[in-house]
Amino acid sequence: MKKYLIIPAIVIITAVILTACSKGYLNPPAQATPEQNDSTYTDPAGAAKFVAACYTNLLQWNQSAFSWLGVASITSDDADKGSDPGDLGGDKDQMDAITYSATSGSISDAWTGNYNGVSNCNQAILNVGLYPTLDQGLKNRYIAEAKFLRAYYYFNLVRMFGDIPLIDTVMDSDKPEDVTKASTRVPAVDIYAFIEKDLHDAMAVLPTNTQQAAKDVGHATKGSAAGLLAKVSLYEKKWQEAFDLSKGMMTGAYGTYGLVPDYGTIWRETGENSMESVFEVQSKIGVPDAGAQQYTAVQGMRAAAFKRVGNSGSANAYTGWGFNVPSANLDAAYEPGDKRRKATIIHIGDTLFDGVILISAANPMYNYKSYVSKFVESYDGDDDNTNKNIRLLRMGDIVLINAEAANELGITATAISSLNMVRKRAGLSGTGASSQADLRMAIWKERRVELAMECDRFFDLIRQGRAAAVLNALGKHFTAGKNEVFPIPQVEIDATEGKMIQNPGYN
Amino acid sequence: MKRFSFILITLILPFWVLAQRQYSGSIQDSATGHPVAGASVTLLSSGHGTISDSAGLFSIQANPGENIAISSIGYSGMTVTLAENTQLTFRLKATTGNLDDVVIIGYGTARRSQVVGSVAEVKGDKIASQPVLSAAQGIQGMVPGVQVTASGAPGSQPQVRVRGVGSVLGNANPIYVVDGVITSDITNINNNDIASVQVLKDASAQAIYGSRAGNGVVIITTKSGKAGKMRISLNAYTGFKTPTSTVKMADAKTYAAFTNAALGYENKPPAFDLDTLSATTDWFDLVTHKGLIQNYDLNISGGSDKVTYYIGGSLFKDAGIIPGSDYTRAAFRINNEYRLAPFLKLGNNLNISIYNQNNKPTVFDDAYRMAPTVPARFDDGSYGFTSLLNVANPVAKLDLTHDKSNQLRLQGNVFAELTPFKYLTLRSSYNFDYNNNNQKIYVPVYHIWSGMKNDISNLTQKNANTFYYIIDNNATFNKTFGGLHEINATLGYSSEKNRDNSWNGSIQNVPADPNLWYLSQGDNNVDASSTGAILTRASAYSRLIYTYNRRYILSGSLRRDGSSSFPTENQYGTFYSFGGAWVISEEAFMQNQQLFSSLKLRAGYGKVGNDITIANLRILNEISLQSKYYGFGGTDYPAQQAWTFDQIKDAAVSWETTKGTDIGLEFGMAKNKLSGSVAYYNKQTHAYIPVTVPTTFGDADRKVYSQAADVRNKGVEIELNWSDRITDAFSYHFGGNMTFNKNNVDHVDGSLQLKDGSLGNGEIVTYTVEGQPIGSFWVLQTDGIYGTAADIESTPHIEGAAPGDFKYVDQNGDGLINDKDRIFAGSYQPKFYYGINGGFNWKGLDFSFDLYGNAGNKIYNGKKAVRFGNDQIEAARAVDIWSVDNPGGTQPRASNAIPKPSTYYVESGSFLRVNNLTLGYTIANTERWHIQSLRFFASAQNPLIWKKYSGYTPELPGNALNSGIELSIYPVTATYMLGVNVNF
Repeated sequence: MKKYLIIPAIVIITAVILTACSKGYLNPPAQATPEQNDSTYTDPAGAAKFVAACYTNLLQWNQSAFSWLGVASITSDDADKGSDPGDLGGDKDQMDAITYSATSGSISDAWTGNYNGVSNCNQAILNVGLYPTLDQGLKNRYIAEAKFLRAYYYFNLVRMFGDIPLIDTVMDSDKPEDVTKASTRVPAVDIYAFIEKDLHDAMAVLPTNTQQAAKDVGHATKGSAAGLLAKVSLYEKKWQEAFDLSKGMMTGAYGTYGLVPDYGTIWRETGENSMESVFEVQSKIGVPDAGAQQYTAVQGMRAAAFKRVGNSGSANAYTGWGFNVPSANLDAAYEPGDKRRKATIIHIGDTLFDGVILISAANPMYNYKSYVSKFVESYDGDDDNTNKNIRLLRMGDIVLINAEAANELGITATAISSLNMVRKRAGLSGTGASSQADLRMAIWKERRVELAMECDRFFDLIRQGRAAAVLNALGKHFTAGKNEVFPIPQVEIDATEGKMIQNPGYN
Repeated sequence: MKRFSFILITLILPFWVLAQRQYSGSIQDSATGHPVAGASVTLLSSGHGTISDSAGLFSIQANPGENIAISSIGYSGMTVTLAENTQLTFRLKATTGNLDDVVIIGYGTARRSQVVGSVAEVKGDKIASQPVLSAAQGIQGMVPGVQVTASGAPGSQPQVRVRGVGSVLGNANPIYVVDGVITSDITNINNNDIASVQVLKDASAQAIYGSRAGNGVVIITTKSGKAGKMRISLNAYTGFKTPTSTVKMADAKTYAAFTNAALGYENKPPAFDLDTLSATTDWFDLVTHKGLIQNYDLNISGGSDKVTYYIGGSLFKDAGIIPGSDYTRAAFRINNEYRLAPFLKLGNNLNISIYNQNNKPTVFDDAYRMAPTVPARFDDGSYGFTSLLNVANPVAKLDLTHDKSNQLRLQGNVFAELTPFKYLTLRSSYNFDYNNNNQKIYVPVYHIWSGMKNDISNLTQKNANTFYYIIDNNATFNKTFGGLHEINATLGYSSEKNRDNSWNGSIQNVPADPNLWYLSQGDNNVDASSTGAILTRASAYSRLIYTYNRRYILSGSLRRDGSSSFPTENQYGTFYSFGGAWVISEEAFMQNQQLFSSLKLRAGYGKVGNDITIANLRILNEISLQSKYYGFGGTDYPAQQAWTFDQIKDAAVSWETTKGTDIGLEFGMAKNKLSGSVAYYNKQTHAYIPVTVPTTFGDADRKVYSQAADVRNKGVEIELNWSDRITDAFSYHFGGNMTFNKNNVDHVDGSLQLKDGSLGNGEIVTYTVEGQPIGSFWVLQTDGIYGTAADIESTPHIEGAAPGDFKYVDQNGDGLINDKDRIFAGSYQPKFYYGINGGFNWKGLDFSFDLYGNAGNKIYNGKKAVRFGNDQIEAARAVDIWSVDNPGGTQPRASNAIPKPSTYYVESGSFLRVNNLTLGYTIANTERWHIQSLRFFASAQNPLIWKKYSGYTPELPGNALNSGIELSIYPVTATYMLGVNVNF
């Protein structure tokens, strides 16, 4: 009998010992998830990954695609909601009519996207510093890049929301001071000061585009920082800074830049990272996924039929959801002979650069600048992640910043010559304006057609102080004193248990 | 000592054998005198035994003076001491709800009278008689306190809620314990192999499974062989499935007129010339068919006093109602027991199952929205489309979907049971569950129109496999002291581990021939990824039941669990229960009354838990690999991987706990013809919720999973059953059960923004807040229809409102209509649900029915509320529609705007459904064909439903936050079938 007893006893005892009593049984290593530990900072390649996260945020849906287009473009007089009338894209009808509220998803997404970017930059700045074997020069450059992108995200945030929380470090939600910081709105002027500082820091360290190795194309450069600072200065009405920086950009002080001869090629694959480009989001097809999520899909021609030159049958060109379409008002804003009209707007019946002819579609006009050619550009069948870099800042803008700053500073001749550089490329004659007031209007007008559909116009109108007049003439509901900033997303106010205060007029 | 006992045994054995006699006897029903077949006859000294044959006869070798136990399911057991007379007759008393029934209570059994918690039992034959895939579906309507909500999708397992919804996140389903294997999926088990299903409903019953029991425990025990002659059982049925109910859609002319009117309001030209329309396409009809359902099952069982066996094989095939989709499962089971010595038993329960499934998309949403003016195919054979609306041609969608999956699953256990003393059993078992799933999806090149096309073919292959084991060792002590004090104790230890692995790869430009659907056949870049997870648990558990004089019972359980789901410091949790029962009918003062044949009062309290398995909850310093890479340097250089810290973790995460009380009264009346129970329960779950944090904290999804909500479920369950045998030839039964449940979010810490129930058109319709049930519908309240523009101007309205649109109530009176004006309009959780069943046997004829229903719940008619413009409408939508000519219309004007979530789309979810009707006939005197019994039957599953809801089905499973919304549900189907049961 004992013999029989012994077998199960052994089985039981071994089972217990082998399984649960072994150390770590309840602490198996996390599978397929890296954990921060002693070895995290041994390989300097990890630092590049922290920096890359500052950039990959630019590819995210809530950063660069639907919500940003809703907030920065559909709101303006350049663009309409588009798509089918019934398809509101969540709240794009409200964005179009400027009737949005604190619960509109586009606004909350835009907040989240940009603050996620800020957070990734703060993480990069902290963590890159923790790599003991990382080359000091590279370490400095990485931190400078993160500061450039942090400035970019804050520039979006301050233009959208005005006073906002200033998150300049990695947050610890267990620390009372960080909890306070997360919900305390800092005056816009201080945010601008912070942006300026980040950009100055970045300019001091980053290489120029001519110093940049081919493998590094896409990383922020000295010129990226200088160009963005010029634009930030424009918004701050710091005319001298804007003038000096834009002039430096035009004269090679921060790298080699200039206007490319053919405006239309800027948005073609052949025009990627050209001398026109000050900073652009790199969007690549293929494996692994490095594409800007649905940036082109949401703006693609909807329910469209095509032909192709030299082919009688129908053609199968890139289509999408048809949001953020050029408005009739924009279409009419171009002077006769302006080459930029047909390079910005696809009209029904147009023949595109790749020979595609648009026969019919749900909307009369579409954004040419987001058009992807399936025939002559890289395309892999994935409509959501296409090979379309997003041009965030380019020389056309810088030259007009130069013109505007010069005009405000009374350097009229420079103002006119810079303005005419842009006009000349568009196939137009020199400006007829000469007084400061006329020139100002001419430059603003030029900014509109030069930068149309590039998410510049709405903020430009607010900066110029005439958003209510211009937009309400088109039937929108812009309330002066309220709509200069968007409402703080209700979800964020609620998440701070009501500590964050709403912008006036949105309660 | 060893040698002595050996010698002793060798000396005694021959005498013992010599003294044995051949006893034979018959076993009868005490009331009817009918033979009782399949009753167990066991010698208590050795455990040897046999079973009675179809005539109720048995024979066994035994000694005079030995104790022999007779037992059979549905009868009170009896024990007698053998005398010299070798001819015996036993009359067993039928038991309905008898307190001496043996109940499986988790790691052991007890008499029903000893159970202080709430345990419900459903016998396997009740489940096997229904044409359903899993036992979870089979118990629908049979057990109070258990709500089963299913879709009709082949291969799917229904959602089960035991006494309400406690967990907010993830899976609120109970765990299933199949012969010791803890699992969440029982679709691998053939229903004919199931002996019984027990549902542990309250904390005092569940606590022995402490850490896993938060949402209930369903114990499934499979059949085992019995010593005696070999028994062969063959069961087969075949039938077809159809939709239970449909929705009447508008015909082509009505649709066209509506669409023209909607376009007219937008100052757009009409899309249709009403005079040229003729044919109406019935899309729902085109995407449904009568699907075949079949099940074939053969099992063989038997054994000797040393070895018993049960071998079962089955094939189940369900084609569903969507053409091209089907589910086929083959299951093979072998359950053996080997009694190596009177004190040692070894055994195994092993199940192998394989399924193959052709998956097709649930196209009911497309079929609902697609224009009836479009033909399935144009005259030239190409698929129909219209550029008016962005809806896929559902017929084309079905044709173009090539999605096959299969699974191999091995599940079972091996165990050893040692009984060194009569009162002590030591059991050790190794239980395992392995499954390997493969899926292949091919998307061909097609171009129907620019809104429905795929330019480049794509192949995706996936594999996921899981290996799980639980090693369980326990000791059970059972002894009565002094005839009055009965001690029943269990002490055990278990450790479990679950390992998941999965990979998937996809590639483009794969040829259309199915034999070339491999990743090697596409262009150069395979997009591949793999992942995995390990989860471990270790537990110690104990239970003590003390019974005094069969009348007073005290019971307690204590369990300590560790789980790798939580950070090292918070891994352990302690769970417990205690309770008592009073068997009133055993009292002396009850012996002289006839009203109650049994009466028991029970009460218990306990704490159970749930190691909510949110991925990586325990990894407090997780580095997030970003979904996107970044293409520095263009295509000449590999894209750069990115990572950062963007997930805030709650370092205090630990067990999700549920504490609760159960009080019940169980009774049998009129000689147990009437039996029933009433129970009250009240429990609170301290649940995990995604707490919303400000984005500025640096959390990418703004969510931190934290234990921050208290959810209460309280209710009353009532069950009543009547059964009687009028004559030898006629018996009948009738019963019902009803459960009232009230769910409430009692308390929430911090900021909770549990908005959910997305319709996919930018609108959400549920909101979970303090003081309301989980997942309450949250919508604007309609207040008639605007007649004139002046009417609109004079009241708060939505931007763009026009005459004929809904007027909404400005609840907060701020002059605006926005989310602040939304009200709570009920939830998907019924106020009560119920089952009604009955039947009779008359001679060879048997009939049974079984109904299921619920009441007081709401449904959001989501499919009707999703409109992107020019979508099809229901026929009723166009009746009495508002227009300038019909200003008193009760339906709002034709419109293409996406409707605001409102009370207009909230409908009653109350229904009563005929779950099953079965008529069978057992042919008499089949012995001459060597057939023990032969029964033919016809059955209808879900043939009829009475409902108020206008959609396809009111049964809408979903998670805790988004159930009860009909978007594209695969509706519950009606099944009509014929079958046969043969026993040899």
